[in-house]
Amino acid sequence: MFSSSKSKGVRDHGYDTLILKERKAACNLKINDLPDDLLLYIFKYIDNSSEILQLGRVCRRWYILSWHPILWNTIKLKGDVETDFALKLIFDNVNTDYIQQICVTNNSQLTSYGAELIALNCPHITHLQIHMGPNITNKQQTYFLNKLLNIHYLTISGFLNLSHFDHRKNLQFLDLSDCQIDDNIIKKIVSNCPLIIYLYLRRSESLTDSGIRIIANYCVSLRELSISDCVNITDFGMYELARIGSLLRYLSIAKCEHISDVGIKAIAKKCYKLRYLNARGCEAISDNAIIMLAKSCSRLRALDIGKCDISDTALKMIAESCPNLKRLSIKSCEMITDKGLQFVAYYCRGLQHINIRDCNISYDGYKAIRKYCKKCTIEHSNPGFS
Amino acid sequence: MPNIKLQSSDGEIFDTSLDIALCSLTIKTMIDDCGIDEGEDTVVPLPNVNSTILRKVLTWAQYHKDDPQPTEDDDSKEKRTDDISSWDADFLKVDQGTLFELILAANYLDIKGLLDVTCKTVANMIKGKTPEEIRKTFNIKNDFTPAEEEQVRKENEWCEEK
Repeated sequence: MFSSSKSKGVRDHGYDTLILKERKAACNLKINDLPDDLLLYIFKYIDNSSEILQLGRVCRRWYILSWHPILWNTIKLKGDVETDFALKLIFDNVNTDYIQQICVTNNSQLTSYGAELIALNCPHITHLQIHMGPNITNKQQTYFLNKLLNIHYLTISGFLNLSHFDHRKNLQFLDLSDCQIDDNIIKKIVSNCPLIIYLYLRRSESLTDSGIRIIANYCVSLRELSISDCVNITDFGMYELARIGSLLRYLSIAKCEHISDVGIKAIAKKCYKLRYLNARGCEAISDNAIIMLAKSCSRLRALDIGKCDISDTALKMIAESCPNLKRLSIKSCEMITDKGLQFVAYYCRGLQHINIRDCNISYDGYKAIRKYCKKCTIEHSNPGFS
Repeated sequence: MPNIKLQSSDGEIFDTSLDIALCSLTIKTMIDDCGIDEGEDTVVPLPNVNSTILRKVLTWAQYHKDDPQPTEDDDSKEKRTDDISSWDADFLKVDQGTLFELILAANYLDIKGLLDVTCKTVANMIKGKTPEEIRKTFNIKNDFTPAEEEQVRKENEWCEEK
């Protein structure tokens, strides 16, 4: 419109400021007295793409600056915006070579038009976060995702439906929560992405133990896995997963109600470097498995055993064996008493967060945490405390 | 720690502990390159910073001198603006003119921590405001012609609050 920052460099309006500094010192400096590079440095802290575009409506200088490529490394669309329209406008105005990341976290779904825009303009992006709309066909999705061969971080929710997934060596982070992933699709993907380190498949109700087996077979670098709310996973799945061994640091099996002591013991034995375990709502898990887990995985930093079948005996073992524990949730563990909590308080003094909602804990237990764990936030449901 | 003398643009001399002055990479380079010897009565001239601002900068550096050195800017890292410490927030309760002078000084003296926190403060003043509110806050003149303004407005209609 006025002059495009795409084709030529932006004139440094602030140059005069530095030269005339002495004279200006007397009068009051205004924001537009700052040179371009410093204004851009400020604008870089505004990470919402629609806000960046709003900046362009302030004055001519800001309009030109608002299209500067350093502000468009990441496209972040939040809130109530038309994704297709926004992408078109941005791709028309910014040299797309500079765009590395596209994160769409608004309510609008990606359409086939939007997918084509991305595939056409920035096939080189490294980060992508989108919500697939229901109207993108299997063929369109396959074409679109296979264009993005340089992708490192991929987060997709919505309707995933692929016929094949090309081999790519850079994909490290894959979040397909809420995509209704099944064993078939997971095989197409992980068999071609040998370097996946972070894998999140929350709420994939069709995923079964054979899917977990495939993951353990192909993802030899896996460090983090979430299969929370994948209700069909059983102890057999855990047994397969344990083959990953000591690389695994993070595991969430929250609400996988078919997983019991046998599965946890398999994990505890092989994945002894585990730092994070979320087994919330796995009601078949008892003291027996947690005692073994505590003994074997002494590096645990965060543990959620809410609603598990746990008593003070297991809590005592956790307290004695895992001195680095920072976060603990024993929400709704009705067998736990003040005594168990006192062990935790005494041994895990680095605790930063504990959830004791709906437990039979009295003021004594609460007081023990207050006394020994100075930096700890206590989440509780007793109005009498505090 | 030996001391060093810094001279502001209006001629005032600041006798400062060297470890505080070295927060400024510009001063550090001057000392390293130009061989300004420690302990001697050399004065480092800072012609771009007046005494009011230099005093503020040194107060900030005094408080932050033991901070870990900031790592090289990583563009993939999330830019947060909600992590300003309460001391810094208090320190930066100044009029806009002073705030912008501090930004220029931090940039000239190459003190990344101070530059970051001052720019974050300004970014927080911008965030969540409409273009008109931004103009009011910073006293910026709307220099668009009505036709241009209409065109820009149309261009990003999609991002307006609904």
